[in-house]
Amino acid sequence: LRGAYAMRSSFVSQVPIAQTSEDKIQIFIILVEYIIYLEKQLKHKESDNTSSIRLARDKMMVRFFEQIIDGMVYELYLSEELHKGDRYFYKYVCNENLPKLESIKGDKMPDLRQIFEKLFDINHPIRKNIFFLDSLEAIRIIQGKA
Amino acid sequence: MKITKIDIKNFRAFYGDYSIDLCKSGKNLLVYGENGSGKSSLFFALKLFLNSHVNNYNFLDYCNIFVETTDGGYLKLSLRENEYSKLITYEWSNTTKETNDILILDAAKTSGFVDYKGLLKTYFLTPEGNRVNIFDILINNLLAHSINSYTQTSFTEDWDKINTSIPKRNTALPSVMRYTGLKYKYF
Repeated sequence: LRGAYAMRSSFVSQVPIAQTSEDKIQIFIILVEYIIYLEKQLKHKESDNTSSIRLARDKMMVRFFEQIIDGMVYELYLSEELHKGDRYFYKYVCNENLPKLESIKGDKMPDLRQIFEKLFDINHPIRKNIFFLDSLEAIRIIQGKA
Repeated sequence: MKITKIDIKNFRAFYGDYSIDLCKSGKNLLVYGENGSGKSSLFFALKLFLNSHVNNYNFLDYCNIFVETTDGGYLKLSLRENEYSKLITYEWSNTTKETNDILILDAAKTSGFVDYKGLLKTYFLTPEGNRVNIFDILINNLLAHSINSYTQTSFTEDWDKINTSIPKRNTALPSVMRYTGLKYKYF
């Protein structure tokens, strides 16, 4: 790979790992489980006759859950910057009391779609905070937009 | 938040300083006037002001051409949450750039600036198909700065990325052959 950087453990191991509470870790786990489950489901759906609009919406669902995790990671490392700009993720995700994947019985897709549609509502603070996240200078620098 | 006052000095068509007061409540503003009276300049004043930090615009590039650089100039936007809240004023000039505030950057992301040049393209026919290319108008004008929820970047940026990732066929050779009449064996 010409011009690419090699990833060396000696450098990566110097990146600090943020410590957080067990409650917050649980939220990460719940969302990651949603994403893994959805990815598996979508692999099957791409080959069958699922309508492209439904499939696009489902892919958006996966992407949106990833964006929530991204937001929570930013909040973990840059809480001061985010809170100064009135951007919060944890408290809004906590308020939702997201169910664990294993507690959703039967076909999990309808329930996950319902959760997604609620969080993805244009007036929901999580959606707003994701949309306006890069108004913060620190985020724009990380995302290469500054 | 609403804009309650716009102050302009030596910006594009505005020679000297002007102030537009929209009252404490930030009333709606309808602008009309003859050609060259400065309607577009006011439109661009707001558009450039909101995007000046993200796009790194230089105020001097938009100064009125008849003023000396030393005369200075500015754009000031005053905002208020409601009639009783505190007035916040932001300035963009050659020496001051307060447009990196989160409030201005949020406003830039949700502002909808569409000018007549973009809309005029709804009348332009494509040379090959004799029809209007709605897709181009949407991606490059109407939705150009709208954010794609999937990628979190603007539609124009997304479209550029797609375009650059498509392998390009080398079209130089066939056109040389077309205009010179030379056959493949000469190349």
